[in-house]
Amino acid sequence: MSWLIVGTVPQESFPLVHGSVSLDGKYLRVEHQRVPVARGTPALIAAAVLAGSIFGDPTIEVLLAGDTGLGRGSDRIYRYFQDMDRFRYEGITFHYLQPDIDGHNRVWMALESDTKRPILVADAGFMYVAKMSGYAAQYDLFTPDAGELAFLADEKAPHPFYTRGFLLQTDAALPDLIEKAYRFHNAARHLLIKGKIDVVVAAGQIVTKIAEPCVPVLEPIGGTGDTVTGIATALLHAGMGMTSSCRMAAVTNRLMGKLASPDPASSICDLLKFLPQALAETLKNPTGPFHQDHEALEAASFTLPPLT
Amino acid sequence: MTGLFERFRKKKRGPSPAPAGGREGILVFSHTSEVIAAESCLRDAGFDVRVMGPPPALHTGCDLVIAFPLIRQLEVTEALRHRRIIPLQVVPVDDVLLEPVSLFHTVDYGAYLMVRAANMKLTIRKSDRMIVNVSGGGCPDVPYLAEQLVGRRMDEDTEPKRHGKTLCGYALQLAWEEMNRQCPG
Amino acid sequence: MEMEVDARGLSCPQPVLMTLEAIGKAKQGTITIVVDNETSTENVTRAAQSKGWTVLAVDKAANGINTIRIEKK
Repeated sequence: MSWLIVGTVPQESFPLVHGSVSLDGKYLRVEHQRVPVARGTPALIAAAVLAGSIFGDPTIEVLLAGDTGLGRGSDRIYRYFQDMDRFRYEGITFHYLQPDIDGHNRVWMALESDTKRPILVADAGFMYVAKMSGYAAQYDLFTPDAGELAFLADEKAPHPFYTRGFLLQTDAALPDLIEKAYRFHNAARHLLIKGKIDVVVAAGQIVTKIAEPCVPVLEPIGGTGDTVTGIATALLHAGMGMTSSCRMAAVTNRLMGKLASPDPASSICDLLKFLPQALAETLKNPTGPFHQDHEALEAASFTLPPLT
Repeated sequence: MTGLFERFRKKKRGPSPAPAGGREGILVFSHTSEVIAAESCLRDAGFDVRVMGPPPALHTGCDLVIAFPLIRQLEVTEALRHRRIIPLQVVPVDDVLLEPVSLFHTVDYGAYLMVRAANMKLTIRKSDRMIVNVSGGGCPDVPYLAEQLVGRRMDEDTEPKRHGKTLCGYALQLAWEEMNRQCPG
Repeated sequence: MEMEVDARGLSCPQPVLMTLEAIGKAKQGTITIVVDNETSTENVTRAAQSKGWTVLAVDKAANGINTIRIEKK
């Protein structure tokens, strides 16, 4: 079984490609195309490939198109997705895509028509539109940062741009934001919230928090949020449980940052070379502290509060 | 490392709330990039306009509309027509419109300064106002904007609105403007 | 080659890591993994399939002990 990563690259002329991916230095190779790993979906893919390689050759495929914000490339992806063969994917990670409700619903209808639903992970623009479309609760994992969690918690906001100010104020509101996001059915079954402290949520309950290593300079570096999602993707593909994958991804990403000793001007490529070492270190101590019986919460049937 | 400090700053951005005693109209465009261009055009022409979220009936995804004093509709559409910007619809507004974010979050990393607006973060090196990183966001124009901006100084024609096409691009523009205010050249 | 992995009493992700380690060592043959909960059963099954191994059988005992047999020729 393979895993599919869906997203865009910032070149309007980049064609739609679908197939296996490999890492070649600072570039991804897919079909006959070469994509620099600078940030965004290429950074997520590079992290997934590097992390997956620890467990042997990862069977990761990508579906990519060029899009610089006009939505044309994303639209090609949404249409292609409807007709492509999806049966060989045990999981799909959706990433930088134009938040278009019609596009999302094409994807959703295709998934609904399949006999087996893959594990669904969403981040970035596709996470925004999954919420906008009212289908957030159908997804297995969202990986928002703290600001995006406030967006998920704001039932009136169609995009993080419109998150109401009182929801953006302080980290202490985290349990309230989580509760609001679930109350209005705007969170996936699991959340990996990326921030000063990373938080893993299963079925509305916080199951663990990760504060170490503490590397504040990761926040301004483009791509460091994408790599957490990429590492989580690889761990899920390797068969890890959801909350363990999230926890290990968060620890590994921080450790990768610590090993790289970056500054705010660093690029994600400077950090990625430390990912294999960071994951190997994390795997030496794979079971961390969980505040709840995380496996039971993962397995529990996911019931949402009634909408009022 | 020199100590970090964080601060929030609420900024009342752009024009004041809806013009007193007057109705508002909204200009609806087919794409966010046109909204960004139209806003520049109308501001340059001296109009009192606000960029807002569309009323729910018009919402399809990454949307912005421009609210303007309805009484000046003719002048507004003429100004746009001269720049070949044609809105999809011009309608009076009855619904409550969503306010864009007006809260900025700044982190000082010693030699570097980061400003966050909504989901977008812009980081510069203070000594020469070089843009060193762009992070956050989720719309496809963000990596493209990052490529255009990183490695250039703030005053080297780096306003995101030149290339931004989505709400994320617009949020980056707000971060850029706030950065320019906090760390002027 | 036949191998056995006893992952009873271990919580996620240990059963998966032990399975992957065995797969890495064996390269082919048959591996029997014993776990004591449904979540581990699903995760181990997925891990094996992601590495191209075939799940021959999953035997579930009344006491909650599950035995998973996987094979790669």
